[in-house]
Amino acid sequence: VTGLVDTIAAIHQVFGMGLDLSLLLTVMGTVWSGNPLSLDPSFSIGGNSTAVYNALDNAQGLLGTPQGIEHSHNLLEADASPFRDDLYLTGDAWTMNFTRFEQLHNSVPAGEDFSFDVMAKWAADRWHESVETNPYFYYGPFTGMLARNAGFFFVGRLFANHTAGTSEGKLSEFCLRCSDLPDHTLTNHPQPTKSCAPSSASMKPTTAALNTAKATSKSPRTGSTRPSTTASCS
Amino acid sequence: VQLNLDTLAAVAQYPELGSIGGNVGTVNSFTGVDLDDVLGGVLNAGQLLQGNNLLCFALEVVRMASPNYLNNIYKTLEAPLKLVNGLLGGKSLLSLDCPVWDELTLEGKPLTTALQDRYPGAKVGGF
Repeated sequence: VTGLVDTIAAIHQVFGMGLDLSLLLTVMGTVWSGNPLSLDPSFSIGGNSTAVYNALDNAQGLLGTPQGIEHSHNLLEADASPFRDDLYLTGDAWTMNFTRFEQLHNSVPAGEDFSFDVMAKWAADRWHESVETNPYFYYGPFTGMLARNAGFFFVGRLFANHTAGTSEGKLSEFCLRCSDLPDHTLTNHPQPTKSCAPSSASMKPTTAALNTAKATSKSPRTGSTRPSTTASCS
Repeated sequence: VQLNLDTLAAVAQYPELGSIGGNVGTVNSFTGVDLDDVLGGVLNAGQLLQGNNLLCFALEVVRMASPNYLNNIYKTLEAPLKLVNGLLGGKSLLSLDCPVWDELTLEGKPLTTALQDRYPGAKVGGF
């Protein structure tokens, strides 16, 4: 469970996303899957949680139980996700489908990067897979065209290594693995020799990171410049 | 806005990613909506891929979601919509210089209603 202000600051700090976009995403997360009426608006990144503070207590009668991002189908969560199944197909749109991850992973020769072109093709492949397998596939004007595609590009941009010389961001095999699956064994590929620890830490902001983010959020950066404090993977 | 640029680049390569639509109850039955109809003359489908228009349009869908558009998650969307309007209303927030729509419709019906009527998968939530 995470609060509105903390989330904006953390997204900005950890992922280097512009404040405008992180504000928008956070508002969407809070409004559609959390509790926007609270004095400290908050939402759960998983299922519903009693920790999502209901300031009005009876807000359940007004807004229903905050369901968390997992249950925000066609509000924030959509069909044809990068690694998750369509809700209709399995009734579970939030559990990682490891086969998909492996498909993407193995689509790029060992040692090569997951470029924008790779991610765009993966987005198109997953779109066609849903058309071919899900009779109730729906691709809405916000959830499909924008939010769903954003999920693919966020993988490519936000989990990439942005250092001088790779200002566009470079998502290596190592970074991709660390972004979601630090402990899995992939077929045909040796385990990374480096530790995923720095990257994993950057995906899960600590209290210290949040506090730093809060402190720095008073001088908002515009654009997508990468904060220098981000842990690196390469 | 990088997200917009990424999306446009992907749509240029894979036009299906820039469509709105869905399957209609069977696999491989994908039908898209007429974007020119939805855009209501404010933009045409080609202009949707220029500047920040795609992002503007998607935000407009969110902003214009009608409070009577009900689903099983919330009993009323009035309060959250006010919040969205408050936060998205000021142009300065996103600085996107968006075109202005009065209402988004499809075949004369409000967009979300029309989408839900047409696509069974949109019944859970039609954005």
